[in-house]
Amino acid sequence: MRRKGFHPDEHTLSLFAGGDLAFPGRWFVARHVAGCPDCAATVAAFASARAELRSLPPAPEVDFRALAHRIRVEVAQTGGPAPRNRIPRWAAPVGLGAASAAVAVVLLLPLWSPGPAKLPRAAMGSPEPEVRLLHEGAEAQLTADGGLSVRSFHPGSGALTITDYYAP
Amino acid sequence: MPCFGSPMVRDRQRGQPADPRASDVLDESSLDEHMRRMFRLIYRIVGNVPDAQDLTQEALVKALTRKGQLKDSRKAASWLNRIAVNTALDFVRKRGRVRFRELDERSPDGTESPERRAIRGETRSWLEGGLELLSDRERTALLLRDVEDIPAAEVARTMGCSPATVRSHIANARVKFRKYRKEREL
Repeated sequence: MRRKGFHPDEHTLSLFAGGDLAFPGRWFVARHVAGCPDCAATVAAFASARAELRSLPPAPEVDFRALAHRIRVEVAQTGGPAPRNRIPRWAAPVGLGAASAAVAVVLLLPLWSPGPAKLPRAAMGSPEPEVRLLHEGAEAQLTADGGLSVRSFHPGSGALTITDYYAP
Repeated sequence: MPCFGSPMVRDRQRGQPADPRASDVLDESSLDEHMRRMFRLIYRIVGNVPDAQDLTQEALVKALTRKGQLKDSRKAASWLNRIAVNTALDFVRKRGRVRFRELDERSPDGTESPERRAIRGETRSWLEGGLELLSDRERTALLLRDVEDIPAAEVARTMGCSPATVRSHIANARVKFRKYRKEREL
C-alpha cells in the first residue's frame, strides 16, 4: 500500500544508494523506488556521485621503507618499543640514589682513612696500634681490623666521647 | 550527536588488562601493512603526500609508544585506524582548511597524454572543490565509506562515533555533494 505524495527524504535515499540502510528500511525504500520515477532518479544521481568520487586517484606509493626507518628512529629516541629491555620507571631514581651514594663513599673515604703508608704497618702486626694526637684532648687510634677510634675528652664537663669508624 | 574523543582514554577507563600478544601484532612484519593502510587513510583526509607522510609517522610513533593500551590484539587494525584518523582530524582542525594540492601530479603509469592529464586534473580539482564544502567529519566519513569502501560500522569504530552518527555524517555529505554536482550541471 503506497500513500500518495509520500517519499523517503534525500538522506534516506542517499543511504539506500550506498547500501547503508538496514532492514526493514531498505526493503521499504526499495519497494517505493521501484514504483517512483522521481525517487529512482534521485537514487541514480546519488549512485553516480558515488561513482565519481571513486574516480579519485588512489593514494600514491611513497618510500615506505624510508618512512618505516624514520618511525623506528623516532620510537627509539622516545623510548617506546622493546618493553622487554625497558628499565622500569621506579628504577631510575633508585639507580640515581645508588650511584650518588657510591660517589659519596669514594669521595669521603680519604677524609678519615689514615693513609696508605701507615695502614699496612698497623695491620702487619705491630703489637700496639699507633695513636695519633689530633689536638689537645682528642686522639685517634687505628684498630686491628682497619677501623678508626677517635676519643675526645671535654675538660669542662669531664665527658669522654669515643667514636668508632669501621672500615667497609 | 557527539563523537567521543580518544578511544585510548576510554579503553584505559574500562580497566581491562593489556593483551600480551599486542606487541606481536605490531612487530616488524605487520608494521609495514599497518603503515600503508594508515597512510592511505590519512592521505584521504589531509589530501596531500607530505602531510600524510608526517602524520603517518606521528600516528605510528604514538601507537608504538602506547601499545600497552591495546586490549585485544584482534582489534589492532581498528585501533591503529582510529589513531590515524584522530591524528589527521586534529591536524586538519588546527590548520583550519584541508589542502588537496599535490606537489607531484604525474600519471600513475607515466604514459598519459597532456590532454588526458589536463582532464584528469580538472575532474580531480572539481571533486576536491565539492569535498571542501563538507565538514571535516562529513568529509572523512564519506571518503572512508565511498572511496576506501570501508563498511559504515567500521567507519564508526575508526572515527570513535556511534553507527547512527556516522550514517548521519555520510548522508549529510552525500546530499551536499549531490547538490554541488547539480549546481555544476545547471
